[in-house]
Amino acid sequence: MSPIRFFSENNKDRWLAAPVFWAFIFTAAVFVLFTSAAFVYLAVKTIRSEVSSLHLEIADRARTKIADSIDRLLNEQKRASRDLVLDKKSAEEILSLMLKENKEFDQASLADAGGRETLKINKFAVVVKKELSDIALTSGFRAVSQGENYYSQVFFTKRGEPSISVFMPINSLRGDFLGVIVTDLNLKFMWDLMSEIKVGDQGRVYVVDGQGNLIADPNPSLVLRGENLLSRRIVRTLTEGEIVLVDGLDPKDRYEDFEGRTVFASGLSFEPLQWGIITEEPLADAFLASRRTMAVGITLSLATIILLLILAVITRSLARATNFLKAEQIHTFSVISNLTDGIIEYSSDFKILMVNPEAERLFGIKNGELKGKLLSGMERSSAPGDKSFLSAFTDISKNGALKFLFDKKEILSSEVNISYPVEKTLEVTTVPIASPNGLVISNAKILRDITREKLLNMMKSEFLTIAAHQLRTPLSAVKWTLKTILDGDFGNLNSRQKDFLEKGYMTNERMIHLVGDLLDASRIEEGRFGYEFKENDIVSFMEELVKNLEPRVEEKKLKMQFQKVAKSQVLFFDREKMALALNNILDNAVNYTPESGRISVSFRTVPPYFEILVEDSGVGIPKSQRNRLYTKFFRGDNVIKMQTEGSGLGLFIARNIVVAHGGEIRIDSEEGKGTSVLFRLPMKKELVPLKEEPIKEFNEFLRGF
Amino acid sequence: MYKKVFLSVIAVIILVAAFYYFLSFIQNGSEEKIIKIGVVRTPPALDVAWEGFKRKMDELGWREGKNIEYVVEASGNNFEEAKKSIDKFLKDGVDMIYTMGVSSTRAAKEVTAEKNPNLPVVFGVVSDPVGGGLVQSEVSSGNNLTGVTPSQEIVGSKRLEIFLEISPDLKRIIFPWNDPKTTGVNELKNTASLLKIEFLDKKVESVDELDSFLSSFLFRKGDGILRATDSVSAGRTKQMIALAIDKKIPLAGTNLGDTRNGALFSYGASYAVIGEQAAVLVHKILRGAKPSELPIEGANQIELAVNLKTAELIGLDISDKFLSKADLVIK
Repeated sequence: MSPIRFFSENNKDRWLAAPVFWAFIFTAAVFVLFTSAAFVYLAVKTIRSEVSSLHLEIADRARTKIADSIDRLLNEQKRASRDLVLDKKSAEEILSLMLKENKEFDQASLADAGGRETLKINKFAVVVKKELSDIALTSGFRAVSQGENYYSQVFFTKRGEPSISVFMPINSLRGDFLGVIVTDLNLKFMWDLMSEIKVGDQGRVYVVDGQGNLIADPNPSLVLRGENLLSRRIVRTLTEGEIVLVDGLDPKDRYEDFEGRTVFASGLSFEPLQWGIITEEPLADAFLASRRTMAVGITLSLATIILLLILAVITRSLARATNFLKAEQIHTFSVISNLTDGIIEYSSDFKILMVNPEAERLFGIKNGELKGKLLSGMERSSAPGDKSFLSAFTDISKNGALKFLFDKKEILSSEVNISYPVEKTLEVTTVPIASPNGLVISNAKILRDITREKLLNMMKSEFLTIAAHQLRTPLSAVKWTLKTILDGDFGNLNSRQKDFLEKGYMTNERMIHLVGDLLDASRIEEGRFGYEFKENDIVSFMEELVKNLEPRVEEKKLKMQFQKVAKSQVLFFDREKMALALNNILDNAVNYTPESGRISVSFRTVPPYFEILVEDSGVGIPKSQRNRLYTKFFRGDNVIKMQTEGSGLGLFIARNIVVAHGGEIRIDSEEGKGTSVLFRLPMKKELVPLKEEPIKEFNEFLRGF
Repeated sequence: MYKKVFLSVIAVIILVAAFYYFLSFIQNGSEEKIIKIGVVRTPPALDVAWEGFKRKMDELGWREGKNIEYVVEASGNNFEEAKKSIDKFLKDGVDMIYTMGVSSTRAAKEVTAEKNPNLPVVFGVVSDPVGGGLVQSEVSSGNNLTGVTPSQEIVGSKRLEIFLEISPDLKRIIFPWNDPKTTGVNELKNTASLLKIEFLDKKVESVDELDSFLSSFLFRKGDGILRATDSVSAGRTKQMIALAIDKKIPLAGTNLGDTRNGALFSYGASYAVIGEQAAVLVHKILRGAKPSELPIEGANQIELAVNLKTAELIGLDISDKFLSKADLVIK
């Protein structure tokens, strides 16, 4: 199992568990659905009842118009009946005038109190006396003789136009029943009323009589065709006489119109005549608004649910990502917490961002105490842990303030001794922490407890020094003893003896040299080589060293080229130490250049440095070993075969001496062709370090053991 | 990349759909266009129906030049010329045609049936459009025509009755006729027998025959001429009236125009009202009705006109009682 997975699985929020989460989303969706369903239901209900009211209003308007027209005609008839009482002789003229002035009347007739017709005038037909009949037994006459108006059922003329007969009593001024005036009222006039009344774009209002026959419609041909509409429930309801209003909201009242569309219908009854006035409109048109409301409602709730789902998915993946990040954070934190090195991270204003447990332990600080604190605030603190902690921040920049590394390549390293909670030596490495785009966002100090290493190092050094010292004394005694014998102070030696002793003497010399090197190296490492810098001319100094080599150069028949420089070059250096360093290089050149080889020494000024170049045509250094060049006791594989002598400390010593002078050594070499060594020494006094430092490589070297 | 394009396309589609969906909510009525109506006049007799038509259209809210435009041709008396007029209307892209009289209506029917069977044609003053084959039935034309008929055959009997009223001394009715349907000659014969008056009818095939019949006829006292409602008589009304006055014989006309021209009286449909009724039909069609949905209408108003000058010329005394019934009295 990967650590992230481990941490993320142990960091699960309960609500993120799929069943719980989706149940929650489902509940929310159901809630949204129910809310919008309730809203849509109420809105649609309201709209539908409004549609119904509107239709009923239209039906009522039609009813009023019809009633007005019929009332007007009845008044005309009534007036005629009154006129007849006053002017019995002009009956024909009165009726003719009534017919002429009211085109709705097709025919008018009079009957006496006995029910015998006395006059009949038809608008179109000629009526002769013969055609007059007895109407005493008709229900119309009987009703009228009781003093009431009577309206016949609707009948249709030859042309198919609906008409009714209206019977009206003629009463004397004293109220005696004198006879009846009967008119045939052509209901065609209602057709125009129907076509004047609009019901939406596609709807209509129509009138049916008590038998369900269509008597008025905006499309008169339907009436003339003789349609009976009793098959429509609303027609039956309204013409049965008990119910006077049908709001049409009951789906059973819907029906298919002549064009086959399902229509919404509502209606009123026209009571005195048992007619029905009905409005109809295609369902789709009538309920357009409610359908739209429904569509909007459904769309909105679906959109809401989709949004909810999207939100849910995003939330869940976000939560998962957060969880993952958290897990990763915990993981990283665990790694840092469990490191054996102390780590302190701080921002550029020296605010402590993070201190890992190891760092807290090193400084004896309580858990999490320092996080978020400013370094400047701690300077006044008297807590011993804080003082120890502050001592880690010893890097001072040029202006004397604490140093913050803004260059992501810069790394500082120093050793710090602390006394609290116990005496320790810490190696403090300061590293810039850069974001992926290269911007330094914070610095971290990596603390390593090197107390034990230091101690070990010291003990080793001391052992080396003591051992070297202890060796040198007897070696010196051996040297002088051998010298005295060789000088013949104890009598002459034969050549064999002399030869033997000389070898012994040389070996002893090498031993002394080795011990000297060891002592030098250990002093250098410890930083107590004791340099005494003075101003000297490096060119004459070099010339002198080269001159000292002459016997060996001649012995090996080497060609030595020394670049004569007119001007002397005064540098600031320790003659003795520099001689050691340069001799080591010159010795190597002589030693590892085969006979008849070439050595050259030249100078160059590259301000602010002065360079000395020593080139030879020697064996060179194998490429694979070049990186180990400056380590102690290093000797190239090829030279070990050539010469058994050599401590392997020469280059180490030479390099450290040059470095202690503020200079550097560069070595270029090609195996079998030669080596060139470049000394670079500062020309200015200021560039020479004031203080001698212990050598880091030494510590690293020791750590290897 | 493809996902991005796909999503953008989807987004655009949704936006456009939403936009149109939204538009459908606020759809505005498109601007009212000017309706063009082709009119075939039949001067001078039927111009009353044209004036009545225009008047009623105006009343119904169809203002000339504002929301309606009339393209008028006066070719109604001649079938071939009327056809040319209708052709011109079709080229002009009229929305409807209004014709007066049977020739122009027949021309309109033939030309539209051939070239634009859905173009509504409303006619006025066409007697017996069913018998004339213009429409299928009075209930529904079954084609692109509808209109108003003067119902001459229906009021013919009534006219006879009134003839007897205005001139009680009438003994014999002279009735030269050509078209049995539009004249309702059989109905008239029945009515005459009901009214117990002699009825002399003569079928004439042409104007010439009519002229020779009348000029050679021996009129006697108690005779009266009933002008037939067919095209033969219609073309010779003036001559017939002149002859009647000359012979001091009463002549019954069929419409107000006849009375104005000197007929003793006329009883028949009001052409002005027919024009008005035609206007209502046009209005209904413009409001969305189909011509076949609108039954052929009979004239709503029958008018009685009396010419007292003629009465004087032929030596007839007309009672006040009769005059009281008249819609128009010409002195």
